[in-house]
Parts: sequence; structure tokens; C-alpha cells
Amino acid sequence: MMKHRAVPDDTTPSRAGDAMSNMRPRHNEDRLFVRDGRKSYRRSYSFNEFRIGMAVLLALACVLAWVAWKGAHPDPDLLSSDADLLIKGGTIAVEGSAPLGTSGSGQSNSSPLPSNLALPGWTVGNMSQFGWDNLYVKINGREDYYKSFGFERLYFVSILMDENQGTAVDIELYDLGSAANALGAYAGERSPGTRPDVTESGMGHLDRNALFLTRGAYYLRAIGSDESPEVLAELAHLRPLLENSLTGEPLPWGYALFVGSMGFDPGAVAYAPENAFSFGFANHVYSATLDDGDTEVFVVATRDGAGAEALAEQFHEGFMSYGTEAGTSGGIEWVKDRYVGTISGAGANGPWTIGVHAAPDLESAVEAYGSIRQAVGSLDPAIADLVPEAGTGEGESEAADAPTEEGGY
Amino acid sequence: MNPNKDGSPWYTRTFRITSVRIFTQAFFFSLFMFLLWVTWFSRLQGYPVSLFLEVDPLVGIATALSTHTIYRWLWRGLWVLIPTLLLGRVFCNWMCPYGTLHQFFGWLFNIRNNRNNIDKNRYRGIYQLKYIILTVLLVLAAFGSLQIGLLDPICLLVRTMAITVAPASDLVALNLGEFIADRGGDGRLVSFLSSAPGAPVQRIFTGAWFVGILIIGLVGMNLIIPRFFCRVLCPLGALLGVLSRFSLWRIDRDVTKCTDCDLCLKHCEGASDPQAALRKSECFVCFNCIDDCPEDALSFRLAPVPVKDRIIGKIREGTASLFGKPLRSKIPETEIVAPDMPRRRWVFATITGVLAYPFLRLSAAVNARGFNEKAIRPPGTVEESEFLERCIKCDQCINVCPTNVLQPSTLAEGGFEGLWTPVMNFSVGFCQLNCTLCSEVCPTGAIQKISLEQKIGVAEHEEAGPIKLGTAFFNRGRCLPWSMETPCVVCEEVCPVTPKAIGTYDEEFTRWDGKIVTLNKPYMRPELCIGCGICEHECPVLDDAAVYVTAIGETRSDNRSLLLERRSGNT
Amino acid sequence: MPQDHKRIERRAFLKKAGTAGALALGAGWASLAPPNWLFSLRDPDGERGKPRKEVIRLPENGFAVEPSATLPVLGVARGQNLDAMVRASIDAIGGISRFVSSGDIVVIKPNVAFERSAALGATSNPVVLASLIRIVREAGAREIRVADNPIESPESCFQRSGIRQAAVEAGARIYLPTPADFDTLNVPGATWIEEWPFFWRPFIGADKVIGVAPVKDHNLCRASMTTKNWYGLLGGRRNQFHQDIHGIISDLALMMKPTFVLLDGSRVLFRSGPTGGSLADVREGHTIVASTDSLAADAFGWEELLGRGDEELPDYFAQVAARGLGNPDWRSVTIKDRQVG
Repeated sequence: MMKHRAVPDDTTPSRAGDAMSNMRPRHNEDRLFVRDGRKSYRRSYSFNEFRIGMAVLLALACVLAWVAWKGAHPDPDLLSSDADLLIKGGTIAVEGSAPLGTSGSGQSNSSPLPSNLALPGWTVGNMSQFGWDNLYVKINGREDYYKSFGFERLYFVSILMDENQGTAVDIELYDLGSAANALGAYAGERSPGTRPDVTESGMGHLDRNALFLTRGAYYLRAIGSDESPEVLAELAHLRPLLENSLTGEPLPWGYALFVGSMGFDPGAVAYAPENAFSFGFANHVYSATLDDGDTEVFVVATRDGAGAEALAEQFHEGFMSYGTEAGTSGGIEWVKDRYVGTISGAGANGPWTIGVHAAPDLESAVEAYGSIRQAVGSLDPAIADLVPEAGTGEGESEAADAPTEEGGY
Repeated sequence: MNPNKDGSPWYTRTFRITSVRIFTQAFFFSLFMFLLWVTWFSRLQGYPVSLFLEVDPLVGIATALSTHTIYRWLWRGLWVLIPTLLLGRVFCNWMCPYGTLHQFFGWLFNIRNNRNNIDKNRYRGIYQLKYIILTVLLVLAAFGSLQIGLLDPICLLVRTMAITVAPASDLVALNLGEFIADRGGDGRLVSFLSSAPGAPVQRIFTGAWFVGILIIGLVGMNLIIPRFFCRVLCPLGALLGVLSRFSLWRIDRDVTKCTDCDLCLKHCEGASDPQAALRKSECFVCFNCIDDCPEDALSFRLAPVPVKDRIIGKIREGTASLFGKPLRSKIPETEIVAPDMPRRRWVFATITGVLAYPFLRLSAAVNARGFNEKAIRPPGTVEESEFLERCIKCDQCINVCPTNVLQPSTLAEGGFEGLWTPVMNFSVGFCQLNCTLCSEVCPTGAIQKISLEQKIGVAEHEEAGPIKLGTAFFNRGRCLPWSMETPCVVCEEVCPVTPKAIGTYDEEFTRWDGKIVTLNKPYMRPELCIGCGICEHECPVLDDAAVYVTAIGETRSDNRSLLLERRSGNT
Repeated sequence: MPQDHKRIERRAFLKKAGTAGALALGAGWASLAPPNWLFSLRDPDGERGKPRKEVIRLPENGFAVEPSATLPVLGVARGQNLDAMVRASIDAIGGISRFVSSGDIVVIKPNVAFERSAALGATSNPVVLASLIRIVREAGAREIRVADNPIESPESCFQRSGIRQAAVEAGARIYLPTPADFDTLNVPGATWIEEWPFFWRPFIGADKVIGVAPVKDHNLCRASMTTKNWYGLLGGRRNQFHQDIHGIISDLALMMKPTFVLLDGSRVLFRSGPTGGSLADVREGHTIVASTDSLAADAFGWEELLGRGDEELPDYFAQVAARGLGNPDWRSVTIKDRQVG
């Protein structure tokens, strides 16, 4: 340890010897409050040095500006609150999440159902609506079915009998976005043995105490609580009322093809907006079941011939994933199912990808293929232009899935 | 203003290069402190808060050695590397905030006289130590054990600031705010002093005392050896020293002017012997020697040539001359290019590094077996062995963590290799569901930059699911409803996932005193638990919580998974 | 020389002896003088050394205004336009001028317990809060303070819930809790929280208190609405409250008698509460309720917004009612129910 305060620096530099000596300095050096600026012993200063110094200061200013600029431009995702709205695949633009206090798609839509639903002796209950996100509240367990058909909104109302509140007709009106979806959902739920009545603007049938209808993009189920005459009378009242009040539209082209050109029963036609035959790539597929109850012919519209060829190749690969080659006939390669022995195959004609699924033998498969091949030849190719990206994975249901509006806060 | 004695205008003296250097040091130190100050939720915005860590070329080079990649912003190391190749170790005395700190305190508490100063600034053999440290650390890095963070000056300073200075500033702001508020003022006026404004409780950090003692010890060493850390220990300085042998510019001594007075040593920061043969590897390019030379014999020059061989005559006899001018200095050497490390010592250091790797890695803490159950890493952290290749212990993640859950690991959780790396302590805080700040500030990708979607497993990450940090377990022996007939289930209330990962068995129960209570006895649904630890944090059984999270089941490691899960092709 | 030498020694001796004597005297005084004497540090029985606990109290009648025999207790506004609904609901129970006078300092207590987007329904709707702040400001309030002690980190909770932005833009001041902001509150007659740390800072000088609570399912007390909302004014070991949550909520009703409350039924977190986390847990309620009786508002919410009229009310309704602090039978109080916009 030092015993004394060290002797402060000499302030008169000249010779090394002087500077090193322990002579008393003229001033105590005060490093904290220097009046004359920092000392330097050098003799000369250069203008060049000054210029370099200024250049350095300029560089520092640039660093500062850069940091400030970076600070003012944060990563918008870092503190965004959109992500936590997406849990469970929920969309943002549904009931309960759109910016409140503003008008917008997030709010209740006016119901397309007419008001005079009830016969005398019946009362219309409260109307409720369900969006993509709370659909399960109403139909727990089945919501995925409707969502696969491009579900947009469910309007629900019960019509209650005044005398006996236990007797009711529940009306579920699904807005599925397009007529094809509505018909597809309808076809999927129609029990075997029932026959749809086809009009120009939709289909429908009465099955005991349940009424099923499609009108344009709407698919409606009205289910009575029992098969009493009162319920059947109410259903009979509802059917013409709803058929007239819901806006219809002509059946989609798939029906024109299968029913009009090929003479299928309308009830044999089905439509899968996605995942047809459990193939992830197979979207917007119209199919019709032959009289044997197993063989299906199907058609998908694509943008052009090349697209149709490519999709047909995908179908072929798909069939091959659980089958073996069954030879070439009628211009396409057929695939025999490894497990059940049925024959499937797909080809293209113009912008149409066509095919046969689950035929009992090669002969009938080739025949069915021939008929559909001929039938699509008469279709108007302009239909294909209306089909958005058919069969390529960009389906309508995905579009409904995507968030379409920002969260409020 | 009067012109200088040599007739040059006054500003060439006032704004001479050493003045600019001091200003630059103050600028970078302030910038460093500012960036630490904004490392907090409410201030972060887009600031490059880990900038100094990113421009640290030792971080870039060592992680490139350990991971064979250069993560995200680490290419910014070039901003220091290129000036070093041109000018020498300018980083050390112009930019390095830790160097500035040492220089400032060394200057403030300097009580030496000239003679002592000159003696203290002579080169010593001990200054080789940093090259040995550097070699050991780089060899370890090449083996996949990144330990540069122990001594890298930027990592060390960020860590020290984060876990000692920052909470101390919180304490000051808190008490000052209370003082003002008690006298009727607005206590929030001083919240700018706080590093964590809005933190509901004072932040605490494991082992802050040790880090605090370390910084006081290292800064205090300046009283004994000026710039002790920079000259003796700094591995970054050593790296830049090795590189500066290629630098184009250096301090050059004019032997025809130099009188061997040694005054240039008076303020020499690097102890680089400017009075004799300049040690390029030690010179911090502080330019103090130029200021201190009364003979104007020193200058900073582009590629000066060593003059020893061109001297004619004999120095001892006083007849020597250079280019016709008589030689005044008795020392003809002007340059030593490479660090003063004999080759055998380089070999020794390499062997030390090679041996150190198994010594460290054979400790149980960091391996697939024998790991500590409380080594719970932040979300986005890569698998443990990869983590050890990346984490530089800078503790920026710990600094930014809004709930204080991230804590520097002690030897218990991470072993020596994991010392000061981030682990979660749920008795202190919990991992907030919607927060990914630690992944944003991590400079090396030890915590990979993740999006919120990725963390909570939505949108395109829905299939991968949320990132799990571990799994919570119930200790039924300590749980109030299970063992004490007392209603509780705070854990279920705060569980942030939906559906909740904590369910309850509800039963009506007649207590010992005859009262009928409804007990909701909680149980865990391990598929849903993300290990965020809020249940442990909020559990009223404070000291040894009845629900607690351990590292098992963490997403980042296949070895530490708990439930049988389908593994997709690319994991 | 010897004399000089001696004199110097004597002077030095006196100096040293004087210093030593003064130190001894000072030490003796401080340790032996009776406790009430100046500079005495004496503490014979250890009582003086104990920390003094300062206990604060809220006003005797809380922040409630004079009850009115004619005006409705519940003001219900249903519709789409939240701003108009907030106004209509307050107008229904007498208008803001009944509650807030010019120059008042008003504390508004939203529920900001969790770091969630407002859309997830775990926190008060910022749009509703902003409307309320504007209405209170129009009534001439001198200062409007928005305060809550969230469960997750306050800064992020206020940020992500949108409460910070909404409140600041509407002209209120945010009070985030810091450790210095809590004092021990005395609640006379309370079962559990007779003395408990209370988020006191925003209440210094406050004249009126308004609660704005979302309608939420709750895992333990089954429903968290305006009465449970006061939970966010307490500090300390809140995680013990769950051992008798109904008793605690009834204590909360005793602790805070607000000027009025707003039940924010714009979004209803009908399950997975009180945290929620998915839009699937939320539905729109299209309803705002203003009330001078929190319990009646909560009962209304339980039945009309949570839609659990067929279930029994949670225990705390009976406990609060037993203390005479509210009426759980909302159908028996005067209601003004309006459709707005």
C-alpha cells in the first residue's frame, strides 16, 4: 500500500528527466474539474487529423440515425395480438370477434327465413345464429361435416306447438356459400331409399317427420319432434312456404351433366367440395352412382386440358396407392383395388378430368368411362372457366377458413 | 480562440484525435446502456437491442466454429472485423463498452504519479494469458461447447448489467418513486430510471451476488494493473490482437526524433511498448502516446516499414543515422507483429482445450441422461447439446423477460457448461403465454426466433402443436383439496391453454368438523400442458408448490419426451 | 522545550479525552435515556422496534351516491352500437350527471387480469371502457384513473388487451401496480380480508369508483362479473382466496361500494373461464348493463348472458345478499331494458 498520496503529475513537460522528478508541481492536478482542457505535450496538430475526427463523428451520427430508424420500425408480428385469436383454427371474422361498435360482417345477419313460419296453434321461438366458431354449440360433433361444405352461417329457429311445448319443429338453415355445396351436403345426408323432388331451383324431399331442402346456397333441415299429424301438417305448411321464399338458382353444371345428359336419377348425384374418395387433392368433384349401387362415375372441371391431364394422373397415383395395374383399355390405365378387387381409373377429355371408381369389373368400368367421356364432350367448355382452381387444393372451404378481418384490438 | 503554438487553428487541438476517441467511447457506452435500457417489453419497439453482442466478432467466429453457421444478425461481426484488419484493435479503445468502463474507473481512481504510471504501462509476460484463454475457448467451441461467454467482454458486461445493475436501478426507481409519492408528487416521474417499468414486484436473480462481486473485482483490478481485464483476460482482445498483425496502419516511432524519454507510456492503454518496438497485437489504437510525445516522434501510419536494417553506423557509439538524419533513440526496433506467445505455449493451450472438452461434457448435467429436472429452457430453445453450441450466457433473454421467470443457471441446473445460461424458476415467475421476447433478443439462436403462432401452435403450426417447456405434476400430498380438505384450484383458474390442461374431480365432502365442502381435486392432462408454470407460480403452497413443472416432455428434445407421440418424418 | 512539549501533550490529551467522553455520553444517552426523550433509542420491551403498520380505510359509505326510489336499478341496453349502448344503459339509471360531478376524480376498474386480446373475452372490452371514459369526462371529471392489478405481468396485460391504448386515447391515466402502491386496507366486518394489501395509489383523493367487468365463466366461483371484479384491487397472497372464494367475493362486496358498475356483456366468455383463450369460448352478448346494485347486475348476467338461469346461482350471491349488499333477484328490482340501434 502507498503511504502517501502520490505526487501529482508535473505540468511542465519538456525533458524526460524533468517530468520524472519529484519537484513540487505548480498546480494540483484536478482530473474532475479541469479548467484548461486536457493537456497534451505534443508540438503540432494537423488539419488532416481534425478532418478524420469529424468523419468519425459523422459516422457516429449515422450509427445513431440507423439505431433510431430501427427502433421506429418494429417487427409488427412481435407484439401483434392476432395469433392468439387463431387457436383451434377459429377465424377472426366471426360472431363475437369482429371489432365491436362498428358495423361489419361480424354482426348478426338478418335471417333469410320468412316470418309466417307457424300455422295457427304454433309459435315461432327465438331465432339464433351460429358462425364458423360457435357452430359446435348447436350441433356438437357434426360441425365438421358442414364446414367441409363451405359452411358460412347457421340460422336456427324452433316452432313450438302452443298446446304441448314438447312438440316442436326445429329448422336449421345452413348458408353454405354455393349451390354445389348445398346440394353436396344435401346428397350426403339423404338416407337411402328416399327420392329427391327436383325443381329448376333446387331439390328437396320429405322423409317421415323431416323435411330437407336445398335452395341456391341454402340447405335446410326441418325436423319434427314426432310423427303426429300436427307436426306433419306444419311440415306440409313449411315446404311450399320455404321453397318459395328462399332464393333458388339453377342446379350446377354437374347435375346438368349427370341428370340431363346421362339420365341419372338426381338422387344418385353427389358433390364433394374437398377430399373426394379420401384424396386430399380431389376437390370439387361431382360424382354419380350407377344402378349397381357401387360404381361411381365422376367429373372435375379444370382450367385447361393440361390441368385435366395432370389431375387425372394424380387420381391414377391415388388409386395405385391401394391397387395394382389392371391393364390399359379405352385409352386409360386401370387400377384394381388390392383389397376389394374393384376397378378404378381416371382420364381427361378437354378441360374435364373424368373417371370411374369402384366398378365391379374392367368391362363395366370401360363402358361407364366411355359414357361419361362422351357426355362431357357436349358440355360447354366455358363452365370450366367459372371454376376457380378446381382440383388444385384452393377450395372454397379454405377461403372461408382464412381470416378475413383484423381483430378489433 | 488563440491558435496553437505551432500556428494551427485552435480547433485542431480541441478536436484532436484523442478528443474524438473519448467522445466515441462515450457514445458507444451510452448506446450500449441505451440498448440495455430498451430491452424491456414497453420500450423494445424495433431497437437492435443485442447489437453489441452481434458485432462482437468472437461471438460470430466461435458460434461459426461450433455450429458451422452464422445465425441471423451475427454477420454484423464484420463491422468490427474489417476495421480491425485495417487499423488494429480500434474496437478495444473506441467501441468496447467494457473497455471504456475499465478505462474510466482506472482513470478516476488513479493515484499514481508519472513514474508509476509509466512503469505500470510497460508490457508484462502475464499479458500472454489472454491468448491461452482464447485458444482454450475456441478449441472448446470447435468441439461444440461454447464457453466464450464466461469471459467475452460484451457477454460479461450484458450479463452483469442484466442481473445486477438493472435490478438495482429498479430498486432505486422504486424507492425514489415511493419517496416522491409519499410527499404528494407523482412517483412515476422517476420510472425512467427503472429497467423494468411496470414490473409488479422487484426482480430478483439467482446468484446476482456472485456476478456483482466479479464485476467489482475485475473493475477494482484496474487500481493494481491498468486495464487488467483487457490486457490479461479478454479473449476478444486476444482474437483482435491476433488479427491485428494483418492491420495496414500502426503507430510508428521516428527513431530520429525519439529521445527514449518513455513519456509515451504514461497513458498507454494497451501496454504495447510504443517507446520501443510497438507490439501490434497489444496496441488499442488509443493515440494517447501521440498526445504525450513531446518530440512529435510518434504517428499513425499506413504500412510503415521497420527501419532497423536501414540504420547506418553504430548506435552505441552515437554515430548511427537514418536517411542522413542522426539517430536520437537508442532502440532501433519499431515493430513486433505477432502476439508474444512462444509456439509451445500455443500448443499447451490447444492441448488444454482438447482436454477440457471431455472434462466438461462428461458431467451429467448436460447430457441426455442425468440432466437436472429444473433445467427448463425458454420457449424456442434448441435441443440441449445444440443449445450448448449456441448460448453465450449473455443473459439478454433474462433481461427482457417480463415475468422474471428466466434466471441465470447455477452449477446445479446446468453444470459448469451451463453456468449463467437461462433456466426457468417458477417460484419467481412464469412463462407468459403470448410472449416471445426472449426468442427475439437472442443473438445466437440458442433460443430460435419464433413467432407467437409457433409458440402457441396455431395457423401453419397447428399440426406441430404448442411449444412445451416441460410438464406439470401434482404433488397430492401437499395439494389443499387432495390432502387438506380445503377448496383451492387456483391452478385450474390460471391455466392459460384452452381447453384447460388442469381438470378436476369434483366431490362433495364432509370435513372433519362436519362442514360440507365441495372439493375440486385437480389432475393434469399431460397432452395439453405446455409447462408454462403459471400453476406452480400461483400455487398457494408457496415454498414447495403442490403443482410443479419439470423439464420432462419438453418439445425441443426427443430424449426428454414423456408421452408416446407420433413423430412426423422430419423430426 | 520540555514545557512546550508538555503543553502540546496536554492539548492533545484533552482533545482525545473530550472526544472519547462525548462519544461515551452520547452512547449512554441513546441507550439509557427514557424512550420519550429526544435522541433516545431505548426500547425496553421490543415494542418500539416493531414495524408500524399503517392501516387505511375507504369512506364509510363507499363511493355510492344517494339511492333513488324512482330511478331504475338496472339499466339494460341491447344492440350493436356499443358506444350508444353504454350511454343508454347509464342514462337508464339516471344519467352520468347523477353519478359524476364536475371536478371529481374518478377511478375506473376494468378487468385486465390476463394478457389476452380483447376478442377473447377474458378482459373488459376496450371499446366499452373508452365510451365510459368519454362519458365520465363529459360529465366534468377532473381526472380519470384506470387501475387494475392483473394476474399476469401488468404492462403486457394492459397492452395486449387494448385497455392501455383505449384508456389513454380516451383521456384517462393508467395506474399500473408497483410494490409501493399497496397499503393495508381495513374492511370492518369482513370475514377474511379485514386487513389486506390494497392497491391504494389510484384511490388517493378519489371521489367516485366505477367498475367495468366482462361476463365470464369461472372455474371455481362459476361466474366472474362485477362483484368478483374488485379482486383486482387487492395485492398480497391472492392465491389463498380460492380456499373460500364465495366468502372472499362477499367480502369484496363489503369492501367496495362503487358509484355504479357496468356489466360489459359485449362478449361473453361462456366456458373455459376465467382465462379463455379461444374464440370458440366466446359469444357476442350485445348487451350492456349499468347498475347501482352489482349483485342484481351479476344475477342478470348469470341468467341472460351466461344463459344459466336453469342452474342455481353461485353461493356468493346468497352471501352478499345476506349482508344486505345487493339483490340477487334481478327481476324484482326496477329495470329499464332498451333496444338501442
